[in-house]
Amino acid sequence: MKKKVGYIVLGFLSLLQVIGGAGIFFLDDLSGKKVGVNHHVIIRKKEFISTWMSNSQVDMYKLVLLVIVVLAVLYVIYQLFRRENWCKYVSTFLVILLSFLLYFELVLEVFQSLPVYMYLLYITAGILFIEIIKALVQNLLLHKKYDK
Amino acid sequence: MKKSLWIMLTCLLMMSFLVVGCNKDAKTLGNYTIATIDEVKSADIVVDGRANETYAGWATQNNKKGGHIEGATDFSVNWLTATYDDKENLDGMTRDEQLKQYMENKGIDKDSKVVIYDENGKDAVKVADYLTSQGVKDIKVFDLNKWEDKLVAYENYKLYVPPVVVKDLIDGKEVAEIGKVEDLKIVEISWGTEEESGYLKGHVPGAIHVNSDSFDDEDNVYLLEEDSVLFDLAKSQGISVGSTVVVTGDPIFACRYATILKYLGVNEVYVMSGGVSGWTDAGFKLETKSNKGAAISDFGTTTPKNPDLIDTVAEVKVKLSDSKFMLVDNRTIEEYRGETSGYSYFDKAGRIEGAVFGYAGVGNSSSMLYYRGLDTTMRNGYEIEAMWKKAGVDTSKHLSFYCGGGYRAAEILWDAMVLGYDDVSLFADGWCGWALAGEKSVTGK
Repeated sequence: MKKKVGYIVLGFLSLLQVIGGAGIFFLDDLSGKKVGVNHHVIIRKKEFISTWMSNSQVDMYKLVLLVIVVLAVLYVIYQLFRRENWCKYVSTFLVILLSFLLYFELVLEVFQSLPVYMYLLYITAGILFIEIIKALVQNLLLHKKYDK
Repeated sequence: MKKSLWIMLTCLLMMSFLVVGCNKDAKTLGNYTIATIDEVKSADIVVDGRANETYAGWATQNNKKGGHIEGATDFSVNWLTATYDDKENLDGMTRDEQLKQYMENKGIDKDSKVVIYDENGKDAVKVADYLTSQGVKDIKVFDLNKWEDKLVAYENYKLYVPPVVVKDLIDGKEVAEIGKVEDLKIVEISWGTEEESGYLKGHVPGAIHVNSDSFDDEDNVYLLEEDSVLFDLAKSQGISVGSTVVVTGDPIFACRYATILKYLGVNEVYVMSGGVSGWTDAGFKLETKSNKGAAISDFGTTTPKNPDLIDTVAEVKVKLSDSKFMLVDNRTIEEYRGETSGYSYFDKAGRIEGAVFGYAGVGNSSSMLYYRGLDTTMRNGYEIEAMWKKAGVDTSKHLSFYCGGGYRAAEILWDAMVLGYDDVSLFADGWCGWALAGEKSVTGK
């Protein structure tokens, strides 16, 4: 029963991530077609950057990401040493990748120039957060499934 | 006695047959009796079934008699066939719903005695067929070529140019209303790059694309750019004060740029009526290649020649205390009441205190339902004036039109100029500019 709930939760969370990812592509496409959408995302981006993206704030976000990456790397190394099934830490590995993606979104001009930049950050952060929850679910609820 | 009574009754019966027989001689067109001039003059409602631009005043190769019979309303045959998407449109109405609304606006109901006129013997019948399908029983048709009295036209009808006339201009033909053209510029205004805007999918031949973002300030919620930017933009397209410019595109975009050009000092500025679909509906082909204007360095003036045509926040603030000044709010009723700003990216809602609600559209900040036909041509001018009167718009005063950011109001300003109002202006920054400046506002009814 515990496993069943775990799988349902994982499936639901994965669906949320797919919807979020698809949503950002859809919004990006729409912002190149509709003036109202384009102006909305650009103005919201400007407001967002002036409110939430000062140098000190970005440094703080980088620090948070660094902490997440360090913890995730340590956990993956620990699991490798224990020779655990890779399924057990695949989410943790994805957490590391997503953290790097979010880091690049914060610092690279190519991302910052996108009209949907604010939503891109929101969605990536959301997907990362969900992936962390998924990692916890995998390790807490589905622990026995992957045990040798 | 009885015998003579019978004889009298028989004679009466024969005479009535004769009368009926005479009526059978009355000419018909399609299923409709052709009205006499006297019948036109005494009809409840006289309807011009030709294109709106012809009703407005344009004589074209399709309709030689520009203008309309005094007192006549319009019901354009183009409304029945013009390109229109029942599902995807700004007003959220089907063609059928729009047409029924027009009938109501013009006071046409099932019991109305209607005379519909045209010049080609086809348009009036098509309109009559539609009205018949809606239950109107007493319809006659009339050939305008037989009308001898003078026709009336909107004072500046030429400001909206029908596609067929634009075609003549492109082909180098001289158009009496416009006169000799030395330097013709066709521009197409829409939002986005040439790819994003759909310009490369088809535009009026020779048209140069202008992205509306090039005259709107991205750093200032897309309010109108400074004069220097506007001058540079015009020069980049090769436009100077001496150019004759025909602006194409959706009317709110086209009228905004046309107003800007007039403000800067271009005398001969026209807006093509009906947008791009009006061009294709007229049977003309679109061009898909990219056209670039040859930039010039001298516009002809360095300061706007018609500065009074566009009002700034500071000017409106001062003028509001002038009893001869009236601010007209051309947005949806929800925007006017402050229930919504009209824009997802602009949070403050409300209106400028003292502004009169002058209508625009319904449901969203792009709808122009109250000022357009479904073929995107201008609504009947007399209906616009009646709507203003009912709303309390005092046309004896200087009228300054505003909306959210100066697009809808620009089209209404252009309509007003077409109708002959010259003491008018555009408050280009509109509600967004006013609210951003932190000026006083009100909400509610």
